[in-house]
Amino acid sequence: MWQFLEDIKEWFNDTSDAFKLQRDFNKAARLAFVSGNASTLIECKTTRGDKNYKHQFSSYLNTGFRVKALSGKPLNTEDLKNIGRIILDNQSLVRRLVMLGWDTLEVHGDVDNYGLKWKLIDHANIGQFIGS
Amino acid sequence: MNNDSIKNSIKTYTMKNEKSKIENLLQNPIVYIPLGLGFMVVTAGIIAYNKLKKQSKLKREINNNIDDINMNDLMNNINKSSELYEQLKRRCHPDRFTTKSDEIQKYADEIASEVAKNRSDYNKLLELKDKAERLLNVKF
Repeated sequence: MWQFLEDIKEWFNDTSDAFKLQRDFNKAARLAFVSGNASTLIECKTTRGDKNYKHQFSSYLNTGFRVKALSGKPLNTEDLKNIGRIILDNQSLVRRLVMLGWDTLEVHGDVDNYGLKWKLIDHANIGQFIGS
Repeated sequence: MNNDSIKNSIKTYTMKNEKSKIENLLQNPIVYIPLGLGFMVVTAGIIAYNKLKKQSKLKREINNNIDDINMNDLMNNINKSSELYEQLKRRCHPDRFTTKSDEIQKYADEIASEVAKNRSDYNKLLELKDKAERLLNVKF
């Protein structure tokens, strides 16, 4: 019974961590834009995700982590790829996203519906990480 | 004697009547719906709990190995690393140092490979920029 309550508490902690990560990401993006370091304002939000990308830690609902670039112009594929690659290169962030229940990374511009998506678990190297 | 036999027959009838009521109740399919729903809820609860337990064990194992994420560094990587990478790639290309000494060519090779490896790490690229300025005498 005690373990059950601990698990419930942990679930609430995970949810809280997920909100905190999104809040920190958006706050840092706004700060970079306001200070002039970034020419493009980006924000992240949770979306439905791709059910084909599910993994063991996936949440039941809303498993997509979408980064939306608010640049005022349509971003080309290279820009979107670049943002996606930089996020995927950050192993700690990818593993944290996987752990908090996200399974799909989506990168979108703000003008059209065109976007790119990646399967997060393919970039997490979790097995390698536990083994080290 | 006559009264006793009448009383016994009444008891027997009552018991038979009660039994038949329970049987009727169990034969009614509507009774099984709440029972079935209850069973399904309990089973789903047990499955979900076991999954949660298994996940949390793995999560703890992974969480112990994860460093804190610096979001400001991430924003620098997203916004500034591409430009710096392009600069370093051009200025520190080993082909530009073919006429220099072997030592400088070796440094140029090292820096170029490091730049390619860390193309999205802004802080690392800044370090490499300093290194290039010192060792290869490149001006940015």
